[in-house]
Amino acid sequence: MTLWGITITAHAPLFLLGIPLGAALLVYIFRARGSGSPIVTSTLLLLSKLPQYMPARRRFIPPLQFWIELAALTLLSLAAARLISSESGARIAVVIDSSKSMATLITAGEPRLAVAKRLATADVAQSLPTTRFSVFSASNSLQPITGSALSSAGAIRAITTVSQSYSPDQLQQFVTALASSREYNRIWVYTDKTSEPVATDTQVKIVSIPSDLSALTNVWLHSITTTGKSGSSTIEAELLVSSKSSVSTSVSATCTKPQSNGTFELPAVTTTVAPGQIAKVQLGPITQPWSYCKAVAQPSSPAIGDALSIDNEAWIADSSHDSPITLVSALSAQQLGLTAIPGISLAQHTEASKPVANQAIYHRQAPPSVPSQSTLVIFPPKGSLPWRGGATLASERTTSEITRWATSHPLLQYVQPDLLSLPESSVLECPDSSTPILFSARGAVACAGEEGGARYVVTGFEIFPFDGRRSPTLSVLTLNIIRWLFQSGSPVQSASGLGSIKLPASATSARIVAPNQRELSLDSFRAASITEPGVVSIISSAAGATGEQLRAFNAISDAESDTSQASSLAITANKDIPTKPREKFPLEGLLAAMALVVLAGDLVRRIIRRSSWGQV
Amino acid sequence: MLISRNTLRLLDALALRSKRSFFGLRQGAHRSPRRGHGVEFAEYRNYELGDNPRAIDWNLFSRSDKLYIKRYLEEENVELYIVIDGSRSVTHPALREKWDLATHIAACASYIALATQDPVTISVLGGPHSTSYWGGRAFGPLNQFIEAASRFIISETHETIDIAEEARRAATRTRFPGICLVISDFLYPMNTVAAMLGSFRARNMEIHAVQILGSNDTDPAQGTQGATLIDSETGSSLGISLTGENRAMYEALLQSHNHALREHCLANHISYVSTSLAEYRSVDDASLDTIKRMGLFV
Repeated sequence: MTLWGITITAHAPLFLLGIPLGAALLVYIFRARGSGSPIVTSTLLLLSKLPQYMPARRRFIPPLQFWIELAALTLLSLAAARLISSESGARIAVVIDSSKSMATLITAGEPRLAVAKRLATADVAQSLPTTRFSVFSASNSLQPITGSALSSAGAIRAITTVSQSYSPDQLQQFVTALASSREYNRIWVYTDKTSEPVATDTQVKIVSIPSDLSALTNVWLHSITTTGKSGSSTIEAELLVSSKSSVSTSVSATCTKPQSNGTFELPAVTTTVAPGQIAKVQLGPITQPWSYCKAVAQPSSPAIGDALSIDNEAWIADSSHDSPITLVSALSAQQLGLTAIPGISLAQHTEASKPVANQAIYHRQAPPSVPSQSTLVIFPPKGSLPWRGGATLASERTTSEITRWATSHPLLQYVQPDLLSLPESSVLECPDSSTPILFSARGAVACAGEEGGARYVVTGFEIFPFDGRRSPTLSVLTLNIIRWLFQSGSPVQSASGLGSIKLPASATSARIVAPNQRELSLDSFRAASITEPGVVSIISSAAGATGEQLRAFNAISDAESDTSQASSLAITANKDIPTKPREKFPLEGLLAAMALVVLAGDLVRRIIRRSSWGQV
Repeated sequence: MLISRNTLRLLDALALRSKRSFFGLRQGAHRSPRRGHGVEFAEYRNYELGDNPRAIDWNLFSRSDKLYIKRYLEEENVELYIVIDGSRSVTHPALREKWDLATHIAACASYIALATQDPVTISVLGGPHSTSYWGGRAFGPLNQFIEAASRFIISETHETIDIAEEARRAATRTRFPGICLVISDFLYPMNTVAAMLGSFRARNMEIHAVQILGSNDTDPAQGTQGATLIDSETGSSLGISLTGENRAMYEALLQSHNHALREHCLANHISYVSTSLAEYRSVDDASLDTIKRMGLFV
């Protein structure tokens, strides 16, 4: 039996016959007792003279006791029949693409997301009343909106709450996961992508938001970086455009002064951006102190409408205030050849027993405690614990060859490890949070990882002195390590992408300072989610560390901004994939409990009335 | 059933007063037809041989030179017969209030009579044999009756009794004329009621009829519109619609029946009192008021 989308089945339906049989038996019993409501009176001498409308045997007026007993009998019969309830209507997942590209204004002057929500609302409203919906907002993550198994009205309310995201989408991955979960009979996807192949009557329905791609023009910032030191830094922006023809674009920037809310403008620069070609623009130099800037690119001509406006802005923070890298070594930076590496500043620190709060290079030393900043540990002494859980020397130092390596690790970019011949190396016991990147025949000799928001690299061999002519492979590895660990070592500073950031251990708080000021909520792992472009201020209380560090976050995605390229979703025609069995709720316990309640209520009623079972 | 101390104090102020004079067996407080040694002058009669010379009125002899005997009214006790309707219409468990009130009235009347040295005989029609109590302040047997009355409930399977026949049998067991207090609901056909009361009237008794009506008699199946009513006497059932109109009709029928009963009692010099427990707060109040209205106890 199906009622309001709930299917009720009985495991032992024969017991349902107990209801009519029991009801008939009860009627018989109550009639056999004399009548529906027998009352003893002294005599019928006078009463028999009254008009009699209906004989008692024909007119059965059930008393309250009859209904109580019938209710208990019915509930017990239903419980014995082992009723089970389950949903009967179709389950549909409504996936609304809320990625950055959905903010594109289509020809009607309406963003794609609004059109998608309108179409989804119309489809949901036309569904059967028994259908249950789950609404998802899809960008770089699949966010369920207000629970699952919603009615059509609830689903419509949930659809209206889907908001625009700045993140790129991973719709293909999400749709595939939803389809393979077998939780839903149908998956409705509302996106600006097209389905490929165009499949009808499949489990997945792709509703592509119609737009004339050829008529759209969009200018966006491809990247933004700063170069140079404080007082002479410049902002370098790269532009792209999706259009039929070149677009004259003006780029301007507004910078904020440190320790105040004062701002100043950088002179706008106009350039012509050709379709498919990156146009570089330099703003500055910035001659006065600044903390962060916001760059904006716009077509010079107001007649050219920009389809997607949220990708025209980018934030950049000044990183020239970073503290120098502390070198903990018995040798000087010059002896180690570190002065030959451009873009890094070093501070000698010879007392290895004291913890260092800054980024550090431990040369043949080991940090006394877990560092809170990026740290490079070169050839640590035998038995030392340079990291928590500790990489420790496991064998004597011997000559070894690199036998295998982690090819895809960024530290090994442009490095040919098989050319490395290490005259002296030792096997490391890498921490759990690290990845071994180089192996000798006896084990890992280098590992890299990240812990507490700080990166670290431990090598079981010597990489210094830095000399590109004598040991080019090792020098490339050293440069990769320096670049990977200490980005300030590079003269270029770019902004990060959106997502989750993990604060270093020394950080005490973090707050968004631009575009709007608000505190950043941290979870128990000292991580925060950045969902909108802006600038985050991280306050650190560690001695010797910078008090405030600014980090800019942007949502730059060429795939999302390029309106000329229509992307598609590959849909497999899986018409008849069975869904998982619906969750079933046995009702016998509930029905038995209700029967007990009825009988207990009757018992209380009898106690109150001081009656007994046998008394009429 | 217990008679409260306050009720006993009020009963102490009452005394049995018969309207007629009856021959008694012992000296008592009631006027007897027998001439004897009372204090109230009755008549003169001529002296005859054998009369006690002390009864000669010598003052009258001095004036008339004739011997006259001065006769006085004798004061003797009078027997109180209490007859309780023991039919199922009174003793049914569902109608127990009527039995409680009937036995309470009987106990109160017995208490008053026993206090004035009058013998009491209580008969339950259809029940156990009648029990007699002689007057005096020995109330132990009365207490036994009260205790027995509390237990005496006729079961539902009891056979239907012929109340008129039971009354006749009870009347034949009486030894002397006296006061007969008949306590019943009198919800019988009038010929049955007449036969029932006539048995005691034939024994030349002063009859006092006390009609006891239960709440179910005055308003059957309260709070219901329709019900199946079961006759406590015969066990027969009757499905009936108790609308307001029918209830009014039933009330008129009951009044008509009671009116006929009252007329019958008046015509046969029978004192009649009707009482209903529904009109009182307690059995004590109902008993006391009924006894006062009876006119038998002053």
